[in-house]
Amino acid sequence: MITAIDFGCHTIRAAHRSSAESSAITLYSERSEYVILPNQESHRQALLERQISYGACEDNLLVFGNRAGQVRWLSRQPCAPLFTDGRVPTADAPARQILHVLTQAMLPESPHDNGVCCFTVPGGQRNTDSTEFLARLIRMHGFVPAAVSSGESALLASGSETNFTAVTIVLGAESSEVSITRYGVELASETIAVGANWIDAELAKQFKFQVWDASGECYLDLEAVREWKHDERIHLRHGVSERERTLSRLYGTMLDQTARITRRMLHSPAVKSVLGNQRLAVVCAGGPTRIAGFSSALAERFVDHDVASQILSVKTIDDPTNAVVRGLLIYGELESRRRLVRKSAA
Amino acid sequence: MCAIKSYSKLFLILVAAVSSSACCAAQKAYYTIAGDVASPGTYSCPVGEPMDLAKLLERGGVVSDQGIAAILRGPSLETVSTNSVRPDAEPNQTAVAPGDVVVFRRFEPYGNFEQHAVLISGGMPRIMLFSNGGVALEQVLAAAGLQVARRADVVRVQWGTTERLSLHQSELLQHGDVVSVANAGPMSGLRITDTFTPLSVPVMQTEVTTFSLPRSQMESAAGDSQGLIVPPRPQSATLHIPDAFESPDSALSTVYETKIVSTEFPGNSQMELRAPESTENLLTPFRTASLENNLSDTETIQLSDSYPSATAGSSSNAIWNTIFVVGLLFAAGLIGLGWLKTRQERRIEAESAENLQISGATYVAEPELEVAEFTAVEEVELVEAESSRQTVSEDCPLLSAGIEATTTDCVDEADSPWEEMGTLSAATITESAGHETMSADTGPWFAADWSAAEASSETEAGVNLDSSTAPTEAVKSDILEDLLQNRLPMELKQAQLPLQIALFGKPAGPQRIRIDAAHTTIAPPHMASSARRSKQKMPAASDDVQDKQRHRPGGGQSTGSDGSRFDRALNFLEEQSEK
Repeated sequence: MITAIDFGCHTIRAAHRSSAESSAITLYSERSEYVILPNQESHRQALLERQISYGACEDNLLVFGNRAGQVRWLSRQPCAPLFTDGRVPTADAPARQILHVLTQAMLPESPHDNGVCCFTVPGGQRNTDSTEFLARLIRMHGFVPAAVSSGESALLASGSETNFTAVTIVLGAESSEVSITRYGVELASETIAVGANWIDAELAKQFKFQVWDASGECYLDLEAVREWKHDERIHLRHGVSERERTLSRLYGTMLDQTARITRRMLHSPAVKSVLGNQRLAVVCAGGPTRIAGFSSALAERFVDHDVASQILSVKTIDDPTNAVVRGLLIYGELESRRRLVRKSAA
Repeated sequence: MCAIKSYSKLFLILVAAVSSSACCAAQKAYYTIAGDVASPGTYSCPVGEPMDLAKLLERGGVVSDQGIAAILRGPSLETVSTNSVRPDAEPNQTAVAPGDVVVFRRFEPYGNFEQHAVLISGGMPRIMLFSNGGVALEQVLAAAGLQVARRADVVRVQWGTTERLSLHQSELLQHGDVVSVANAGPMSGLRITDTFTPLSVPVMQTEVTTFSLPRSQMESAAGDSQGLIVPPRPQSATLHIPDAFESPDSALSTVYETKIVSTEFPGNSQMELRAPESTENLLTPFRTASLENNLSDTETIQLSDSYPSATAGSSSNAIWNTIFVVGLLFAAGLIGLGWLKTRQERRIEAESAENLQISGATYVAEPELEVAEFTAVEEVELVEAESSRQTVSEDCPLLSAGIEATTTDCVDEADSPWEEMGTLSAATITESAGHETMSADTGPWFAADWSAAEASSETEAGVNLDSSTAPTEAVKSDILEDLLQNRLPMELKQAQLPLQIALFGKPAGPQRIRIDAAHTTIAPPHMASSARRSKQKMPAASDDVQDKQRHRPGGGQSTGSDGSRFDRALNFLEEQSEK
């Protein structure tokens, strides 16, 4: 059984394909956040009646996953992320326990043959503490963990047209990853600590998207920004209102940094010696790429940074949010075959 | 086979070289520019003359515009380059290959351009003018005399990105779109002029009026119309479709009246073609906006649709072209054969490497026979054999998938090297190729040809034959292919979370925003405090302010210890009123 889990800072996605049901992929998707409710009997009763799972700790009730957004109005607090600042939190014990619960619920039953479970790490694999923690979680459920970079996964999911040779840009909630791959072999990669959450937070600060809880504490209302941002009429190149123009500027800042890093990587000796002057396709994945006009804006940044001559095309994957987990499944399939060959050779 | 391959490659090179050298004399290279340009069209220049993006843009009328130019190349219209064009920058020296289509898009989305699309059919790009924001693909194809396909590939360039669409016949084409019709031939950019209708076609009998005026008179005549001269078109139609248009070839060799439309480049005049009355309907829909032409004094040119026609009566060109076409067909056949052969070899090699286990021998797979599936030809090198026959070459079909066969006494009672080596796991089972012959380089019993049928009858086969292996591998390959091609659907399910769990520790919660630093004490308003009270109960915040004022150069001296002058004035008034 091939299993994959993409630990995202906004959503955790798990997919598996059992050999018996090979005609489809089973996908689980849960928001990686929780909301804190006061531990009151009325709240408990309401959650139990609606079959909403929750955890009780000290004086609070914690509702996590997809249902957290539905009940956050009870406390008037915004949801708290499970991955604080794009990494597994060290000072938030309940969040670590919730990660364990979610992993257990989203992974299939442990196989008998120690199946491979490929996973991504928020903030990249260089974040060794998070990698070790998440690998241990997977190992506890009977799988053999294999950490894969999100860029490599996205390319596996969409690179068949480009012979798996491309520049892959995966924009996440807390971080973004740029990697250059040739025939499926990663030549260079870099992680930027800027993602969609930064854009949302800046927008919330500038346009006063704020909420106050019962005690008067003020919070940024990122959920409201996301809801506004998902409007299909918003176009990065044709901003109508001041808010849309600000969004374009913030996207521009992020893409500017991405293009600059891409240029640096393309001109690095390691890449230059292998690829030469070969033009590369740019493949974009991740939730922030769904906004209209993204490819055009990125292409413009490439032009500004004089990289356009080395770029063949800029393409956003058809299903950018699930591309990484699909790529993880492919990686798992390849990995299981490799292990099978190795086992038979031994 | 290797010799045949190398000979075929050599022959291919020779044919290509001879044919290309023969045809170059009669060929011109064509470049197309479209998009937000004043003069979209197809331009020609002699083969071998270098063409770069700046020159082509200049011909298209892009002088001071700022935008992005995308170069599309090949039959699939791949984007090979996306270039930023700025008037203040150096001229873009990006090389443009013959047959390329350059689409220029301005940064400013609006401009006074004629809306058009590029239709490529049979390797021949044509500019299709239209209005009203778009035109249905169906209309364009029908107007071009092409069979109306259900869908067509369209390349749309916007902001430097190339979008590939498969438009339905009812969908609208937009300005700057490049349509590649499915039955389009290879778009090499080099066209043999003799393949077009020669000059002796009856179209030449069209009655035309020819003007022979000196250039000075032409310029004075065109002085009041410096812009493009657009031929008359029906105002209501979205696409200018002629009433009696049959084929693009029917417009060949028609003589048209020309007029100078630009006097900015006297050495390289841009000529606008305008049809005489009798041929207006033929020209109107597919008018090439401008066509480079080096006219001397006569203002009559011959238009072969958008390409010049052949030199009349060049019989030698026809021979050379025939040779070229035959050579190309032969070369294509050889390439196809080689490709099939290579694919077969690779597959068999991979299968053999996985499944054949030769004990005590070094296995070198060298398939050379193209037979049915699961057949191969192998060369087996025996390393540890004590016999003098060290190398045995077999040409026999075999079942290579997961077979471990033991070959013993295949032919006769002669001493066999296999027996000396023990067991050889080489499969020598014939499947159905009864006519395949097996021969060996050395060895007494390999010397004579023998039929594969005999070999199969005398071979112990089927040892460790796992018939289920091959289908399993096939299924796995299919699954991997489905995953790679994203053909497996995703079924989103809700995770079954436990209803109630106990957690330990204190949650960190969401990040709070602190609007301002917390104040331990709140300073009273200045109005309500007397000078003495304010002096005694000076809040922390006010202390900070006073410190800043003291450290400011010249500050603090004038204000005094009681606060500002304003406060003192208020206190004075208050005391006066109390008295």
